[in-house]
Amino acid sequence: MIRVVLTVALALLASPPAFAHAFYDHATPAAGSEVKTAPQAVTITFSEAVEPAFSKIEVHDANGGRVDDGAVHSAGDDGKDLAVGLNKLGPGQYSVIWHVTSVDTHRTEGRFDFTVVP
Amino acid sequence: MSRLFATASLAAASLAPTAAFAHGFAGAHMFVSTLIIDDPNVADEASLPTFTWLPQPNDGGPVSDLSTLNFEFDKRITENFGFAINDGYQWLTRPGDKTANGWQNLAVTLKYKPYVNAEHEFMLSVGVQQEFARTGANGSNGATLDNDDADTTTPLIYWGKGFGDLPIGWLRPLAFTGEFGYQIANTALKVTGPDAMTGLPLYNNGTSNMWTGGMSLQYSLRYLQSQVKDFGLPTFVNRLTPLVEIAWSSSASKPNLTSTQYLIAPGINYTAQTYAVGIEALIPGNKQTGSHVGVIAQFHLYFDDLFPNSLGKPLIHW
Repeated sequence: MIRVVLTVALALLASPPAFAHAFYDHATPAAGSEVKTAPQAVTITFSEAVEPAFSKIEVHDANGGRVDDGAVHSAGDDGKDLAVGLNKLGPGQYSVIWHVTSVDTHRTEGRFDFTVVP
Repeated sequence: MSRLFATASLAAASLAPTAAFAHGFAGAHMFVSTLIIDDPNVADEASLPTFTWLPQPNDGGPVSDLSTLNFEFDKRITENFGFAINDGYQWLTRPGDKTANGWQNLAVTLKYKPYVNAEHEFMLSVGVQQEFARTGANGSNGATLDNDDADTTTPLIYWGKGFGDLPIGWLRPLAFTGEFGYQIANTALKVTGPDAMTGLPLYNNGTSNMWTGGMSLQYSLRYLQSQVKDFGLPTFVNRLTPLVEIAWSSSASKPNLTSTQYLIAPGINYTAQTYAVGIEALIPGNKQTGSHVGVIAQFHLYFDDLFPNSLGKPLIHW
């Protein structure tokens, strides 16, 4: 019985997963970072490919106003990078709110801040 | 769905794997698969297996060791309603006596998740667990392994709360989950009379009602990285969640033959895309729970990501 269980477990581990939930992997600007030069876009790289048509990234300033251009688009060849352009940012703290749908339709979401320092 | 301490005069004998949470998200917070209590999510997943080793109470004498291999399968019927099947095989090594071994009684849990608040990272579920007597080892062997000789029914409530709405960033990766239940004996324990030789009370084959519960405190490094501060740590580190679990059970009716038991389990969880691995120390909270520190480890599979178009989706889209 134990041998059967271990065999099944190893087989499942060895099988390359085609799909999965899309987790935040890294971003530019990164979560919690301080940048001296105002970014022109926010780009988030996920652990899995995402569907831009069913995903969104919003960037808000400290007063809650939108500072992104609303045009969320794929930024890489593997479908894992999602980006949105930004208006010209001044010094201050900004919040990035994202909701994405991976290619197997799993939804994930998150939020992080970054700061533009003078 | 854990069969936490269900009846255990054999300390923590029915400690069982939890199910749960194939990626149990409440907003941005994901509750990891806990080992000695159940998590609040309804999911398509399996624990194959959960291994437990715990030295038993000894009253100053030789120590017996209880080892178990538990198995759990969880399946969603609808998006928020599902069932779980638990069973396990156990070995009780006894100094000066032969090892007792056999299957635990089969347990089936129905679970419903009526409420999720994404903004406040909160999840609430309710369930009922039925343990079927005499489906495992029975007779004198079953008695040695403390398998109940009567069915039990346990209504349960589960919750999970992420701390993501706190204003202090470093506390936001914390999450608090728990469960609370009342185990109802389908055959009540009764005194049938005094023993003719000793005068001590004799009992029928029933069991007493029990309060059961537990909680976990988790700190998600994945949440820290993605929501608070990305330190650029390796992916392996970002998938770790240090946590501590506490499980408890105590009798709720008289007469009873069981003592209040506490188990404290600090450890760590590693959650990848399609599987998770967890390992925790088992620290007995009192002498009635165990004589020395034990260990529990689990390999957990997420069918919603492994097989999203078959085994990993609800049977009915409703």
